Amino acid sequence: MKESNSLLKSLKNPTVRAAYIFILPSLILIFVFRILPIFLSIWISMVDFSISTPISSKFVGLENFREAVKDKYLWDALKNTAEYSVGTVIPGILLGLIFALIISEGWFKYSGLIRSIYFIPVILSTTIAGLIFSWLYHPSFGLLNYILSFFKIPPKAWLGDPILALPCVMIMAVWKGLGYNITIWTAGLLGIPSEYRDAARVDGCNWWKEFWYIRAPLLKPVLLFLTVLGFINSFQSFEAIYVMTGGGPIYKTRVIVYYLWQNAFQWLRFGYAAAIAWLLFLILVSLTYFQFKMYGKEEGL
Amino acid sequence: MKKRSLILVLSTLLVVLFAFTSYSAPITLRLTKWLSFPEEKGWIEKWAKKYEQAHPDVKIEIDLVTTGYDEKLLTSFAGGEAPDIFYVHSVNLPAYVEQGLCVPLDKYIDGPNGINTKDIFPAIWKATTYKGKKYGYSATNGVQILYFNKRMFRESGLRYPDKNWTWKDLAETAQKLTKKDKDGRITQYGFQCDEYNRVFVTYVWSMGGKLFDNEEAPKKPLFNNTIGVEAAKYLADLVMVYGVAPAPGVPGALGYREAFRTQKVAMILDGSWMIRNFINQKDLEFGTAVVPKGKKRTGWYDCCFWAMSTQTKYPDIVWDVIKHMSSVEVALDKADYGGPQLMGMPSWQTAYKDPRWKPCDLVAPVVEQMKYARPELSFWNAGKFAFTMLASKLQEIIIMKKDPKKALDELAQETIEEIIKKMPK
Repeated sequence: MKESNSLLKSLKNPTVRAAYIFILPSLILIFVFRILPIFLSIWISMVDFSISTPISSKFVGLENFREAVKDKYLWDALKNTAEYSVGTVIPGILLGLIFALIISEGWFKYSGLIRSIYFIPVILSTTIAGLIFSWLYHPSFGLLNYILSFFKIPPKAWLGDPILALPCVMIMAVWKGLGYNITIWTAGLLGIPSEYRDAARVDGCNWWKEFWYIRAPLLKPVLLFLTVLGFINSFQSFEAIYVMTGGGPIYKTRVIVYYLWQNAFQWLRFGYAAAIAWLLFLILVSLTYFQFKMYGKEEGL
Repeated sequence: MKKRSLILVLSTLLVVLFAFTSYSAPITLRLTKWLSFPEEKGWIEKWAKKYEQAHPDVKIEIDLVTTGYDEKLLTSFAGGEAPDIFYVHSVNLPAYVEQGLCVPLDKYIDGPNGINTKDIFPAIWKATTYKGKKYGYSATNGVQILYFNKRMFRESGLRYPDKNWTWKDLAETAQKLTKKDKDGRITQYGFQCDEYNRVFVTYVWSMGGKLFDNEEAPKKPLFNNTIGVEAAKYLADLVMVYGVAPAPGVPGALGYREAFRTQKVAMILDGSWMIRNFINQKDLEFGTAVVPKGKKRTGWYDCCFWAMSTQTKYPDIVWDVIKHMSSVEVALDKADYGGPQLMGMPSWQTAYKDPRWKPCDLVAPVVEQMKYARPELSFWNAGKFAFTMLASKLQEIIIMKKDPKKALDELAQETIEEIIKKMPK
């Protein structure tokens, strides 16, 4: 009440009024294209959505959610998504840290070269990256099988093999996201005052002890940031799967967003797809909450 | 003075009002289609322009979509901004009709401004009819055919495939065409097809089998009977026993088509529209043949057509445009009069009797195959769903060496639970 009164009061000031008028178009756009669709998707998840006449869609309550819980294909997709997320986020973070250390410590003669090229895959579109890797993995004339042939290793259908297909996509995703992780880790490492390291060295710490006891605890917020963002992004991954495997073979690479897309645009079940989207949202919120709990609230971001 | 001014203002207003009422703005129709070939853009624009020239009061806005066609079309319907005319693949028709996107065209097709329905191949009407109503037709379509690499056949001293070829001939010839290097690595495959589900369906049909008791409104799966098991075993043997075909990979840009184009494989089964694609590969010397037969010859018919949107305000004009864009003249032009630059095969039987129709060697087998082709499964949206499930199960049989009978029985059970029970009654 008090706040709304002060808002009304401030609106009497012509400068404040002008400021609100200036930001009004942006606010309207954010409301129409960001806020409103969220509420609409709640409604869509509770109806049997009619594409031609959305307004006359039949209300089904929580039926779509009930079906989702019982849908074994959805659970399979969720399992694949979890595997994909763990397989991309954790190696991505670890490799990112290793490369960030190489760059910041100047261990490697060509650190400068890494510094200038590592970000290129990040700016590449996932579709292009997916196609490049599809060529590398090609069973008949891919580079990977060509190299293996020198070691007398028989060619493999990398993306056609139910066991290898998902790890193959993961490798592409790690490669593509590595530059971003390196940047964040490098920023975190450079943000630690050098005095801490100097003091530790004076006290006789070797590199490993200094890193583990001094810098690693200070990098916890960076780790939390990369983990939370990494899991959110990997749970929403779609393009790589769409381009490289189409969810196959034998549904082994069908992740949750791909399954959502199939339901919406291949089988025209928009209500069910919206329900899956809300379940995905709940999973991500729970996962993020769990990660914050695990790393400790006091670290902040 | 005041009175004169008032008269002047009123008369000006009247003139403006008259000008507005007497001026009829041209009607703008929106037409959308996915882009199959880059050249298709010029072709559609040419024929739309011809319509506009004959009907100056109609303007056709063309929207050709390269990727994400279904997504764009469906969201435009949901947003009330649907095009007046759009292209539909027959496997999507039942779902589109159930969602109220397409207008039945029977009253136009059979009306005074209608067409000679008997001149269109019956398979097309089968593919474009749902629950007894016709939803469209198109100038051209495609059928499944066999492509073969002529050089590889010659080098192995083999005769080119002909109309007497059976599935057994295909397997035996594929064995002769599969080559290995001195280390035993395969350098050339005899046959490849990533879409094994489509070959499976063709095999079952050609052996006189059926996938379901009623393929339009299925109640019971039949693909797990003896013929289905035989078909699955045939495909698995090509890969696992004879080693003449690579394991089914991921369908898409880098699959069997690329392998055929780059001469890594001697034979593939694919749609007739790929002639235009392969012909541009200058060093590829290829031929076409009808699909190998079983007890009879068959193959799938890939049927796509123009449909009228339920959101159009001008149904009569839309029908006229559909009729124009699907005419015999358009069909002959799109089919390159039987030349190798064809973008589809005419849906009209008279087109094949036209004096300008001169089928080249590559097109002649396609004409023959059209007599036997039948539309793909198109019951409700289960068509696509069932195809995805079948593809996945065949991968289990071929790659994971799962027992064909057991795997198909599982698929039959899943089909009943996941598709048949959920179909609209």
